[in-house]
Amino acid sequence: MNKPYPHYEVPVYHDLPELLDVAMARYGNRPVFRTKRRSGERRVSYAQLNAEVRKLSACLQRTIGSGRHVAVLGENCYEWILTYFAVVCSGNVIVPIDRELAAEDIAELLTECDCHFLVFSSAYKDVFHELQDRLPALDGAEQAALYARVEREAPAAWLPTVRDAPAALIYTSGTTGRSKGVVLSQNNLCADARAACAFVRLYGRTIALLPFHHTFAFTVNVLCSITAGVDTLIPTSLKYAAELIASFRPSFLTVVPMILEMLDKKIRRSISERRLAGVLPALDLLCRPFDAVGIHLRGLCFGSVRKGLGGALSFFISGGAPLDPELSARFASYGIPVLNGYGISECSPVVSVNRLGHHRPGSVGQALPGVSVRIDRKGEDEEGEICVKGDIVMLGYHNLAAETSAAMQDGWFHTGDIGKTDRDGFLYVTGRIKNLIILSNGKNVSPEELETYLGRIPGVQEVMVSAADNRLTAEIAPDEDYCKSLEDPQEYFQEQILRLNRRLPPYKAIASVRLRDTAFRKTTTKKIIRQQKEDHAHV
Amino acid sequence: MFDLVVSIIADYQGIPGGRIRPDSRLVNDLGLSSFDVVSLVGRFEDAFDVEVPDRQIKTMQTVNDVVLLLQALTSGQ
Repeated sequence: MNKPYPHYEVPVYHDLPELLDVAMARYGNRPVFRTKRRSGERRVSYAQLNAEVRKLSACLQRTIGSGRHVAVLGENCYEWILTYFAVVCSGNVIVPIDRELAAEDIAELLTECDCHFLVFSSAYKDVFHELQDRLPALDGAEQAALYARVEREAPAAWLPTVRDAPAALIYTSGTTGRSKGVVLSQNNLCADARAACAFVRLYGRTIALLPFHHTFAFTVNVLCSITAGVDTLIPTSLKYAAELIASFRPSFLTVVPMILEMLDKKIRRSISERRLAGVLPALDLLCRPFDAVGIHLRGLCFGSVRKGLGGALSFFISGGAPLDPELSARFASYGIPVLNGYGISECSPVVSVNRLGHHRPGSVGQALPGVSVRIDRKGEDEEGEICVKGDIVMLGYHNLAAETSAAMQDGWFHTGDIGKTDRDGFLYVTGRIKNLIILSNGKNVSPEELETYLGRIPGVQEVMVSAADNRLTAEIAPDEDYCKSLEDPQEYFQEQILRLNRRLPPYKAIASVRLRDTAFRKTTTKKIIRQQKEDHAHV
Repeated sequence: MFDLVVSIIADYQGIPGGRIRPDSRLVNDLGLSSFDVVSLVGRFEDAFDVEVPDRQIKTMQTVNDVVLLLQALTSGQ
């Protein structure tokens, strides 16, 4: 147990057309994606995906040409994936948009990356029109209309593309509040997907629970799944995610910790209803000696728990945020291990992951094959900045030469994350150099961005956003004169923040507000010091 | 409608219904995560036979927001 074992065999491909050709040759008419709507289930085969990407690529090149930035906005669906592939395979650069962003933020992002074409789903038609009001030069197409053209299009050959040229422009939350565009090539994306598949064998069925605009979700749920011949269900909404898991019977699931927390809650409720709470720990103890000698009793002992998750689930792949070891241990006790990994958009994004039977508690696994990890500027505790080298590392930041040079030194990408490795190369991430707040659902929150919004509230003199237990807190130093006119300043600021929350994506909602008696401590350059003493704040 | 919304939330979260007030905030006061809120919406849809567009879910900050949205959807507004 827990010894390294050989890498899995993975087909060689360096760009998306090669990936789709390899997949078509191997998996042909097997389903690659399914979508379920009230009108019924729709299946797309590997062969159909290949043919439709070629057709849409040809169609896009005729209509918009090549070398352009093309954004995609919408809920997870087959057409979203088709758009992504076709944009890249037509020699353009895809810009996946976070659908939870407000129109004004999307407009800012499109302007920043000089993007004048947006492909949107029908649910976001109103956003497209709002964007056109703000950006008169913006053109676009609805996904359904594009797909209708694909159906009429003649079979097409692949267009020539350059695998080391920019293929995707991924916007991440920056530490300074300004989003940075990470430029990835097809070679970056393919190298990461291949390396991840060599480490973790994907098979059978899965459900795409994470939004595709996240690089983690796209690389694992789309690129890796296609590589491995997986049959992926794309739910139109997560409202019935737990029920879908039970009925679709996935073999593995790619998740962020918040999804695990939600499933854990469901399992515990079910255990409690069936009065099994006292029995399961005893079963766990019973299984332990058998685990040690490789006899797997957990499937039998925890059958009812596993049935609630479909009954065929072998493992979770978790990323995007730190994973609570207790949560991971609880799922492992049911016989469903959680393979925790580490990634960053700049590395396409997977850098390391634990493997089945070869993992360490609290670790994010070993570096993928072909990826080197170095700990720079180590302190006495052996911790330092995590640096990464390999084909997975981005081409650079879009239009940010200075930031690119700062992050890329001697071929090593400096992640800004703090960590250490053990003697076997298992990586442990212990913190962030950056101010960025990483929530357990994998969402990144830039405190500076929220502070900008909060600063617009009348009566706010200074403000700082921080997080504890996944909840965002706004600490406000109020304008004293303004507060004199208020009956209850605490209630006033809470009401104002509630209003702000209604227009923010849910993960950016501010959970609590604290008012300070005094101004914040600041640096000599008048910047607020983020580690403030608590004594000046009152709840 | 309020009582049924409260009973669905209480059942989901395993808390007494008496703890849930109209101005209770789903995430901050009742301890739900954003994924929990999305799951709960599925239960509301079944209970009230409505379809809540995903993009409207973020307007549900308090229990009262839930009730108002469901009232609007059930009355066809």
